[in-house]
Amino acid sequence: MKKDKFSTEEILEGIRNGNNIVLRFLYEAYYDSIEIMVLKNKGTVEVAKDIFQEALVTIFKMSQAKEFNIKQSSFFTFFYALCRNTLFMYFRSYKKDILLQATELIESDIEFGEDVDSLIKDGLKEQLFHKYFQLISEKCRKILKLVMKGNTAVVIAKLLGFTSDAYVRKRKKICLETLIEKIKQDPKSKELL
Amino acid sequence: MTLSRSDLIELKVLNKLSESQEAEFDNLLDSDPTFAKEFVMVQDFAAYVTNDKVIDFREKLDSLHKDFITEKSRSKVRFLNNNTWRLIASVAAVLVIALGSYFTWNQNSSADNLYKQYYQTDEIFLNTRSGNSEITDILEQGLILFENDKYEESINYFQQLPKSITATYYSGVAHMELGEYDVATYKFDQVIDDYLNVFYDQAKWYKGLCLVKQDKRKDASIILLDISKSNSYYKQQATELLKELN
Repeated sequence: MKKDKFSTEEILEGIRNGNNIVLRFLYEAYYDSIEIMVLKNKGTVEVAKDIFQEALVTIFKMSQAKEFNIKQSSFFTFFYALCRNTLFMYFRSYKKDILLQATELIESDIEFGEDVDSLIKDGLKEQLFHKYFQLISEKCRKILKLVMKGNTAVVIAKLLGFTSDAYVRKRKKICLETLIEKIKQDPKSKELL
Repeated sequence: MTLSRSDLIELKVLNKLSESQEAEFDNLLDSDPTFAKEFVMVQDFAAYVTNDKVIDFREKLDSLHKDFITEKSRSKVRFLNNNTWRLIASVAAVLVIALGSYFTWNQNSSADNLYKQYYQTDEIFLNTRSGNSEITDILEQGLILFENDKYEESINYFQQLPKSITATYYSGVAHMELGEYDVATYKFDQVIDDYLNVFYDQAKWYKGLCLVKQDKRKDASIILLDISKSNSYYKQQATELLKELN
């Protein structure tokens, strides 16, 4: 078998730092295998994309702890098992009927534990926010980010060059309501949120 | 003044409710399931939107996925089946690619020539001072294979020593020999990361050459300019190459 171009340590370091070369390598080396696994388990191409990205986000979060390492298996074995777990959680949240047919997902080579399961579940929620957050205007995104970081309307007006804090308050309300409305309309939100 | 429901939720998420507002909030939370659901949603949203690192990472993945799928569908074009219209499409696509390649060839070929002119495989500098004989054995095995032009096999050995600067450096050169310039650049970056090592100058120079080979002129110029201003062993070559590149 041809060896990976990067060692497990290098891959983890690359994910931790969001290194484009390593991330591109992961897409080139592993995306097709994950897509096949998802399609075999009644998923779609769109689901495969979500699962692949979500597993990477989970590893990104895990790798923020410097002591995190993969010692029991190769990176691919770990990643594949994590994708399977993520798909399992995805179906459990959104498509319980499919879960009964996707028998392969029930058995897993690697036990991840509750912490990782909780990371995956939070990640799926975040994915929903992320999808719709990208669809609102850039101005809205900036305002909501600053609001949720605890900045006052006066500070936000100054930072973003708006003439009045009243405008920021009005705009913030519209932005948040628009976003929540969009999210609520997504069938996934009923199960996850 | 009574706050609107959304203001109550926002202030609660930001932990800014007064005592009386807190009571009003709790009351609504217990009595109104829609309010409770909306609160949880805003709370979760706040957790998402304040984590810049994760948002940046997600945005990066979105963009990489887009590029990856575009690239994948481009390669699929070459394998379209032989239905007539598909064949025509294939021929047309090939023609477009060929024409595109022709126009970029001139530019790339000069980058290629510069690379060939300046690139020389590094001579092995056996560094076996480590007290750990197992590490030394692996490194030596890798270097012997490298010296015999068995680059893929040598990489397998170098990879077993992720903490060794020597192994990382030669792994970079081996990837360069295999034409895997992106990976080589990544390895050299790791070497460059630590200023105090014997391969610092070489790694920087080779990274510059990788960028030249990939026709990334702007990035190559930055690193070559940096070398030309330093006391690097490659100062002179970097200055000359920089001139030719520009």
